[in-house]
Amino acid sequence: MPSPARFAVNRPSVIFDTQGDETVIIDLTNGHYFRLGREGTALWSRLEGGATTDEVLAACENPDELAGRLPEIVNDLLARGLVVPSDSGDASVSEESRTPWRFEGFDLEEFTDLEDILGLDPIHEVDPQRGWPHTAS
Amino acid sequence: MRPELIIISRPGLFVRLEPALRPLGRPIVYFAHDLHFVRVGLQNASDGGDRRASTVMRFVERTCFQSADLSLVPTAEEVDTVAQEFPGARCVSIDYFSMPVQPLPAAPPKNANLVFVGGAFHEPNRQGVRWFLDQVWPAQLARHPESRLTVCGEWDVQPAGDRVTFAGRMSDAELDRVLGAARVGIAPLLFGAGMKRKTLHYLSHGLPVVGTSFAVQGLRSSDGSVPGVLEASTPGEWAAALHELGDDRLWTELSEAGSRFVRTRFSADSYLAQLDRAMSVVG
Repeated sequence: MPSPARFAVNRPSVIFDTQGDETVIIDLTNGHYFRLGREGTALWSRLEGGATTDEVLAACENPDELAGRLPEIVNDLLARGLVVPSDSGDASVSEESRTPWRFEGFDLEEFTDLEDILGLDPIHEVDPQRGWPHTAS
Repeated sequence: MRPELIIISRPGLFVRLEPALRPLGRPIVYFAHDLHFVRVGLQNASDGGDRRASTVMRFVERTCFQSADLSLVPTAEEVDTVAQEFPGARCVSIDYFSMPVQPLPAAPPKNANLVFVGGAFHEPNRQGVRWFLDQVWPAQLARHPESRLTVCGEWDVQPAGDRVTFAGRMSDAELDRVLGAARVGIAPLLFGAGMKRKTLHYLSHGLPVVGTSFAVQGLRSSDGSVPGVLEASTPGEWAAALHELGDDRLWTELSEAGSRFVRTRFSADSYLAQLDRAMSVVG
């Protein structure tokens, strides 16, 4: 992870929605979705809001705890394809991304129970003999 | 070649493709065969699951309905649901099926054979057949021991006694033969959303239907009835309806009414006229 690094949600393959303290992130390429609770949403909203990793650390009230975890978290999000490096500048950073906050963990849960509805392309990926929802081998 | 109109089905695909296709400057239509968040929510309520999946589907479908220039859904009830849940969405209903009608049988079949069409991968089918075999079938066999049930479609279960056949996936011709020889089509769906192809398929063969309210969504006439269908929800109502269909006169009335209903409302001409009207909304 380069430093300082800035990231963006990997649109349009990935979409997300934050309602209150909870965030749902959906990878439309495979139909997997992820849930973040209050702790994870606090960090996610800053990263997707355009803050660099240095800015996220600078606004954090317990930066030592976060510094040890941040590279691993960001690399995981990159490896899953949920975020991509961004070269957008400061102008795109949301106000909220720079407000003081406290790191209390990052609780990304992955679910696969909707992958047939969300991820399967019914024309190109379905077995022509057996039909929906069987994937072509 | 630039398309006149872009129609995308399935929510995952719509959300992925819509941003890439929007620059073409053509109307984009979301063809929703089902409100997944409603069906998944009902399924969660039915099996005691949490609301997580329904919440995810609601978010995805909100994105679809609110970014499409027009959305098509199968029933007027679903138009109302979309208007309530996703303000600003432009949505109309059309009958999704154009269904050829088969010749009516010369006489009611002299048997008590029931048929169910649908695969186990669709959870409403799986739970519905399981419920029927547990709650209705024993009473049906006690009253009409000659009864047989044929389940058409892919199932991964063992036969439930020698009078129940899981016939597997079959060709259209084989399915026509099974439907043409049965006495009653059953649709014991405990939840679901959208119009049910299986109900129309039975009726198009002149096969009277016993089904739950979920089996007849979008099919009611103005007086609330559905031609060719006896509605039932409790095991007692199911047993009574199946028994009633042993009467040849009632059977013939329902057979003719159901066939006429499909021929009138679900013809190819009717389908094209509805599609034309719907598309005129987006020019």
